[in-house]
Amino acid sequence: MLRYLLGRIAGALTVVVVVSVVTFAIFQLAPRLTGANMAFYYTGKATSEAQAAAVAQKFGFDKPLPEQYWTFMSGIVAGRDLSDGVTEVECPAPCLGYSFRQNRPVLEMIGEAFPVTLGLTLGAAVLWLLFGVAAGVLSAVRRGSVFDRLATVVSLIGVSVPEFFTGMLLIYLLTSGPAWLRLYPDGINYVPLTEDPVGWFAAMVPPWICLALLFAALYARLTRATMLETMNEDYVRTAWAKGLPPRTVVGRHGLRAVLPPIVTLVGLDVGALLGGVVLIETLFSFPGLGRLAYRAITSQDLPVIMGVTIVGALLIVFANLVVDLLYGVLDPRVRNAR
Amino acid sequence: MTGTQAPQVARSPARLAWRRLRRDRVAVASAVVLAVIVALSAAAPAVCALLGIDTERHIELLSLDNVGFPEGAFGGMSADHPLGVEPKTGRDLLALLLYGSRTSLLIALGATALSVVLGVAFGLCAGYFRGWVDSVLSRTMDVLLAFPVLLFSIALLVVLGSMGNGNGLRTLVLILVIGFFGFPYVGRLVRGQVIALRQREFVEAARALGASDRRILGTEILPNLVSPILVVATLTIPTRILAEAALSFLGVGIQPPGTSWGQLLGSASHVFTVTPTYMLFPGLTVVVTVLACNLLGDGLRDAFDPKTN
Amino acid sequence: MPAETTLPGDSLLSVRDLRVQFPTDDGIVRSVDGLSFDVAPGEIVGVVGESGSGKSVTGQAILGLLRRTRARVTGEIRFDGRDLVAAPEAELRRLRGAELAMVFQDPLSALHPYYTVGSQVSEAYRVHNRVSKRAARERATQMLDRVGIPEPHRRYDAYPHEFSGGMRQRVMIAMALVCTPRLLIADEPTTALDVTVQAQILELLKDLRDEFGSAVLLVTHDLGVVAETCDSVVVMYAGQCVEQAGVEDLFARPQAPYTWGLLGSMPRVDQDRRDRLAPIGGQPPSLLAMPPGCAFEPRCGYHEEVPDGRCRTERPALVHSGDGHSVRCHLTTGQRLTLRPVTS
Repeated sequence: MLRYLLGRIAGALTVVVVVSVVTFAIFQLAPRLTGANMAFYYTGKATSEAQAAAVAQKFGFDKPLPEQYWTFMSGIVAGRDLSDGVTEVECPAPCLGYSFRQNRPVLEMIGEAFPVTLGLTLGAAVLWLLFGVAAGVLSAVRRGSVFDRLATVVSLIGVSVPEFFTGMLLIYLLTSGPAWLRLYPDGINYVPLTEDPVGWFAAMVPPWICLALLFAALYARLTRATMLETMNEDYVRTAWAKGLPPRTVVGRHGLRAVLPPIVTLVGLDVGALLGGVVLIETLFSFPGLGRLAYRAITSQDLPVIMGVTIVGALLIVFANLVVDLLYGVLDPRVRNAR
Repeated sequence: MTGTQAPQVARSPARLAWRRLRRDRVAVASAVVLAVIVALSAAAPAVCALLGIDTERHIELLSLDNVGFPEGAFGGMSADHPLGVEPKTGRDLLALLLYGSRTSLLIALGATALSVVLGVAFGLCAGYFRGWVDSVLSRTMDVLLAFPVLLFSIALLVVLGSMGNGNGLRTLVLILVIGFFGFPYVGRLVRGQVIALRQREFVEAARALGASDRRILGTEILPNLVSPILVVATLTIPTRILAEAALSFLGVGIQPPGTSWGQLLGSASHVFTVTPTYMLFPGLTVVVTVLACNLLGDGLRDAFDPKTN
Repeated sequence: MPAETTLPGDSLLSVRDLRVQFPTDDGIVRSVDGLSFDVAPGEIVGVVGESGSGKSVTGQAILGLLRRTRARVTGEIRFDGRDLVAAPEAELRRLRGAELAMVFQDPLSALHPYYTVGSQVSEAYRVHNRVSKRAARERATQMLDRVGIPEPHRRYDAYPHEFSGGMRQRVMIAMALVCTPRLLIADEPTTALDVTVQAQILELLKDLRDEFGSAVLLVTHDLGVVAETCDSVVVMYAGQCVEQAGVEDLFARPQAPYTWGLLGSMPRVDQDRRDRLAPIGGQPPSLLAMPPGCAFEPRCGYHEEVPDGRCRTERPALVHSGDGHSVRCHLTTGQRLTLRPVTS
């Protein structure tokens, strides 16, 4: 078991390293393709010759790429001093870099943005699990019923509507639509939970709905399909043959077997979303990781991009790891195989 | 296997599937809708000429006191401009949608083709050769699946898109980026199918007869993958449409004056509280197309593999 | 216990004109087509046939397990005087597991992979008996011990995948018998097991029958299993009964050509080595398009013995001879007793 765990962690770290290498490579490629000054990518400022030279010296642009990459990565553990040619900054460990555009350490920016994304993701996950799984189970059990047909159509539409389109429709209806629906006449504005819990909740509801609609539809489809398969399993037939009431057959024997794949999917989806709910955060102007990353990319603020992608990859592989461990808890066959 | 007495003709699986598909009214309707959309986009110039619309700017249709928003209700809808006109430029929305669908569909189909080709190649090799080849290819696909794909796509588009200004280049980059990040899903599926096929008697028999790997892959395994590949391709197209829409929506895809469904939605994202119709029509077009693709894909899957339903 | 089951009053289970039809896209599949037989209390009745003959479907129809499928079940299944076909679901549920229990072919897939075997056995007990968890555990452990699971107290908390195939089937049997049902339906209980384990499981079934007095309906494709275990036999072909007799009678005087074929394809210890096993040629007819005559006619080597090609045009009726032996065949009684190939 310990060996298995260590192997998994090693695999997870490999993914993080690969992601960081690729990100690094993309932005090494950029100035070569566009002919822009490398210093620009690090400082975001139109630099003078002298400044550019100072930056180049400080960041070691003349050194081989692997060494530059190593300097960056080791900075995470050891901290480093950085400069945009004008100001010198000390970036203590764990140093994910320093944005000279915003004059802030990347870690601090990520720390500020993460709670927004966390709130968005977890709230939406609760909603989509509640509705998606319930609808899927009910559809499977009442297969062919009016409810099943309705749920099938609704969920198919749900997976076909881009979440930003749902978002725009919602924003329009809630802020500028008919008077009785205009619940947010002043717009949907993010407020930190610590400042105003009620305002936070009110602002979170519309983006939660957008995300939950999409994922609830996906989960309803998955749950229905898996549940139908499970209800055809021999062990479910055994449960009927025992004379168990339908509630027990469905709840204890059927649903139990559907749990592992759903838990797996939730873990992966939540992990991916925690790395940034780019579209929804951008549309709603919520200051989460997704919008941070998006803005950093479009303004080519390399230190922030590196920081956010590495954190995003870490979250995804961490979620993978948690899912794996949970799977062992949920499936005794896997537990013993390890 | 037919009974000795049964007056049945032997039917090939493809024929049977085709027959089932034709009986599936939802799938047929979806196919018709898709055919209409593709035909309209292919014939966009002709359709525009017929309707007397174009993608030229019509500033005279914009209100002067309302900072460039169209005159009249519903985004300036009129007999001349059935879906209204674009804010700020006054271009006809229907014409933009028709031309935009060419870009969107081109990108979706191109990216799907790339995903399928890469996925089949990776999946075939991984599933057939197993061993270290499988380890390397499967790990590669696993790592790609753990990538923050949207962020990477944005980054690649920003970097590669800055190489030039044309939307032609951006279209190509979109196809490459979207197609590449989508292939591991196809690859995994194909790998699973190949592993299952490998165990089957006819493959064992071919191997016992001394057929080469290439021959077995080409003549025994690949033909049996046609139906799952067809299904997965149909179900991949809508995800590629949504990916293009998302990237262009974020402003890193197709740029105005070029147009695509995502680009229109992206432009609309700044003005939709004032002219909701400018967002509504491109959005509905995406939804209808994606929905039809999904329905057709589901129908195809059921037709080829009736027991799943 | 020979077959003196002609009076319905004596029998525990009495199936009359049972029909099971599955509507499909290509037409109606008649899986069981007018089947009748009886099971007396404590009797072991074998139902034999090839796959697709309707034997497993019969077992599931008795337990009402087809109610959740698209199957149409008609006819009469009297269990202890109650008609199970017409019985409301609630009543059937009370009987399932308590008075009618079932053991399935593949114990690995028939046991829930995520629950311990003990909890699955005690669950079967608790549904029908208002007892504490602890009492149910006690009872389940006893049952596991009785079917021959070593260290039942410890193994109670083990999962199905931690057992061997034979041990899993013992668990299934413990689960089926935990409420001491009056009828046990065993659907190919030994097919998935090794030959040596097969014999042990059959022995166990017979012992338990003696101990609990449960009647057993043993569904199998294997006449060897029937010879070893059963009191009487129903031979099925294409959804119909082709021959029905006490087990000694059937093996001594088989009268239907299909039964001859089955016997001929069965390896025997006393067989001369030069005699080859003779499989029945051809395929069973499609259940979608049954021939108008005898269902076995296309594969039968004796249809020329019957005049006017009646085998092809007229479906033979099931004819009862006085000694509890019934046959569905156009051959005359004399022919049926003399034509059988001697070598097999």
